[in-house]
Amino acid sequence: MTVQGSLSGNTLYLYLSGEIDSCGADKVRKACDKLIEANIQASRIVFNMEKVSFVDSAVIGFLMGRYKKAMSFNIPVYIQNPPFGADKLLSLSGIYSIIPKTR
Amino acid sequence: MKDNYLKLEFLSLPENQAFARDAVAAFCLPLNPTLSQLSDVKTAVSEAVTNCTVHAYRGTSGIITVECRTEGGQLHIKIGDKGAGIADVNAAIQPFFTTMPSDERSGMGFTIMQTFMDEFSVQSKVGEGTLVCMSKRFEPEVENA
Repeated sequence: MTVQGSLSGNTLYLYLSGEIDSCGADKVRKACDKLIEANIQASRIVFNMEKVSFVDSAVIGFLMGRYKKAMSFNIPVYIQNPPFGADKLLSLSGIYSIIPKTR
Repeated sequence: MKDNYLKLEFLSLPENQAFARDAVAAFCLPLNPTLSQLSDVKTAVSEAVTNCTVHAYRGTSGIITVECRTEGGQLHIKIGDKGAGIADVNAAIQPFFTTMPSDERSGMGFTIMQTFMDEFSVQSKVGEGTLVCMSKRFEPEVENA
């Protein structure tokens, strides 16, 4: 699993790719938090999941952790383009009520 | 199609999670699962194996056993460990139950196994280990008339 950040206008895009299980999440947690801390001028953060090939429930804790980090700077967080399997799991978890999907 | 059987034993290293779910996915391919069904099986296996690594063998390591059997159009999976065990299984399988909230654990592992598979059960004894049994039915192949 990897993460790449890109600031476009006022939006910080965090492009996730690969497999998000507990092992993968451990690898990019710090990098994600550093990207958020380095871009606190952003007015919103979007997790782009288009290139995520697998998720298990580790994705819920991972996204919630980054959500808390972003909210400590009052930056709202969104999820973009989750693949079918990720979308099914995220819907089941109810996470979209706090981290909504965006186009 | 003949019924098939697979048994894997591996050390509870985090990097073996991907290996285990991919092996089970490859094993059930002859049952012609849809991509969605395959994704469900991989996720359920990943949850069970993660539990063994994170909870059963917490702070230590041990052997995780994954047994798979196909029977007709069904896949049966047993995932076991000889680790810590679960004191209260009924509490553990509730959504959002976690003993490790500070580690960003969602507590959704058992809920996902239950939801993504057709049959699901957990047997556990403290100090002896845990066995998760899951089954999934795949639609039989439709032959062209």
